[in-house]
Amino acid sequence: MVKQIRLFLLLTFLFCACEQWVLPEDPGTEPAAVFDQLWEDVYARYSFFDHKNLDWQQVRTRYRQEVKEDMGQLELYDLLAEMLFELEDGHVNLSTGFNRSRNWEWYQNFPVNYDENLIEEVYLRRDYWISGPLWHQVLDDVLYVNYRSFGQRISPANLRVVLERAKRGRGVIIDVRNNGGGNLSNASLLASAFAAEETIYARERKKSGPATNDFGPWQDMKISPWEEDTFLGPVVVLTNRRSYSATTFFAQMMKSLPNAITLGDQTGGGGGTPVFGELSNGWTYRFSATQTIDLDERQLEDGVLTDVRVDLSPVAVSRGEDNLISAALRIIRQQ
Amino acid sequence: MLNKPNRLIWIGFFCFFISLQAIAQSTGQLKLSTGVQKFANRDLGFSPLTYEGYRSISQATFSLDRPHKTECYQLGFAYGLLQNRIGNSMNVMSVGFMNQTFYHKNNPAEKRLQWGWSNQNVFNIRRHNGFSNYSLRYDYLSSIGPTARYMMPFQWKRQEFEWTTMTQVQVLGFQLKSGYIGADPEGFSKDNSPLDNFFQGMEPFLLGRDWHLGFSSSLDWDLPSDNSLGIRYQLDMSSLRGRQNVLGLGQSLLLVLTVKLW
Repeated sequence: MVKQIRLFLLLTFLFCACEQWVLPEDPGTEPAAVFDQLWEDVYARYSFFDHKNLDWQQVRTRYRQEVKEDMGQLELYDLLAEMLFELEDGHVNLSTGFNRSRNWEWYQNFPVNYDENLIEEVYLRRDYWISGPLWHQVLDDVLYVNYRSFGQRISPANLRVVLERAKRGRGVIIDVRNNGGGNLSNASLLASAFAAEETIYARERKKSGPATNDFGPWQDMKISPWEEDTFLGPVVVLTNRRSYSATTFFAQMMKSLPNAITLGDQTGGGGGTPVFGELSNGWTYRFSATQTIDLDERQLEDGVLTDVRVDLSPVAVSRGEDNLISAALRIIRQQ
Repeated sequence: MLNKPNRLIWIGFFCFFISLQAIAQSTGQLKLSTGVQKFANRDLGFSPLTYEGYRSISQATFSLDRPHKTECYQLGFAYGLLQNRIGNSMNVMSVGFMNQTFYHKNNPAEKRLQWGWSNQNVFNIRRHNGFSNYSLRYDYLSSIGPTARYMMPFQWKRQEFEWTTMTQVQVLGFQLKSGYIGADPEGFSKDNSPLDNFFQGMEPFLLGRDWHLGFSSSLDWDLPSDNSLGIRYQLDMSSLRGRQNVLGLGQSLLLVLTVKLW
């Protein structure tokens, strides 16, 4: 019995001693520790340092000296937000209980090219159809579809209705201006309804290590025709600088289809899928951890260029016309 | 000369006879256990913070006692919600299979240290509830290592008891872990075959770099029906190193029902 008890006590002691070694304490919550956690994680996992020619070590040198032991939460937030702003990436946010940092320069410095009131009054009018997140109206013989957020799920039933209406006309205009993105699966589903065959539209790679150029291999990104139905007539996709993230991917998908073109201004970008993280003081953050390139090896982070570059004309707007939609209608009718 | 079907019948009969001989000289037991586990996990692919909580845990162990060795085959399952100190949570599920072989002389319940070897297979999957992307990560480990146990039957107030203390340390094997960013291990590709992906994503498990060890102590009370009822404390530790380290520590308290099969 004594031997057994001794063995039990010895093993218990050994394993309890290991506990601290297996799971060391959580990092501290003092400002310097929080700063270092964020800086290090961004340094290890952010995917666009080389592409944006940004020296993150040098950024640290500038901001780390601003960290004071007695600085308040608001001051620390301001400092970290300012540091993250340097990444010039719409997929970078620091979320606290009181504020959320962001960099929205990807659209703020560019023309809007979209007038929501005009769309509702002149094009959607009062009797447009609402199929889930897809709002659609027939403009003479072309179906105009307005989709405001890829965060809203498209159901197969929604898509079926749109395709049935599209088939009665000459073509489709898909307006994703001001669509800030959402779920990539919605983008893939919508694009698949206009694809005749499996098509590679981009290539993606993920960070695979802490060095700025540590990436896994490029992987093809594909769209396949929707199993239920497809519309293979002409399609024009309208984009502007506020078409971001999943909308950028959608624009690239449609651009790769032979029956579709993009029109308007280029998309805002957002070609890196964000990864999330948390700091020991309770704040959370996200930043891009992947890269996506089109078939010409151009980064989707820089936006998808349109096939036809058109800006919204104030003169056209003043007479109650969206000249991007007019241009899209002309293109479809010419085919 | 025997034709093929007859030969197969004779081989089957021979195997059956051998099995009967083996069963006649052995005892089989099934241990069913269920309880709670205090589990802590830190996956640096998610966060530098530790997630802790209580999980439900269940195990089924088949034990075959032979004159000179005992083989144990254990299936385990655990599931629960863990939280870190700032309130974020993740769901963690573990499925495991372990077999242990102990070598001994004559009666397996003799009061002496018994040595043997073990093979551990564990799959852990974690879903982070606060992250919209890359919220799923997993790891799988298959390894072998030495194991030891000490069994001590004793009497108290005319009742039969048995106290068993057991430990195992994993030494060598392989692991598959989620990659630096996503759920799939580094090297996985949709274009590869499953076998290619397995070899691309596999990493060695080496004692010293990685750790996986367990310890348990149980007290069983023999019932008049030849079965027994017991309580077990179990401790499991794991540290899988790599591009994103995964650390885990579980302490379980289980109720054990042992059913003698033959």
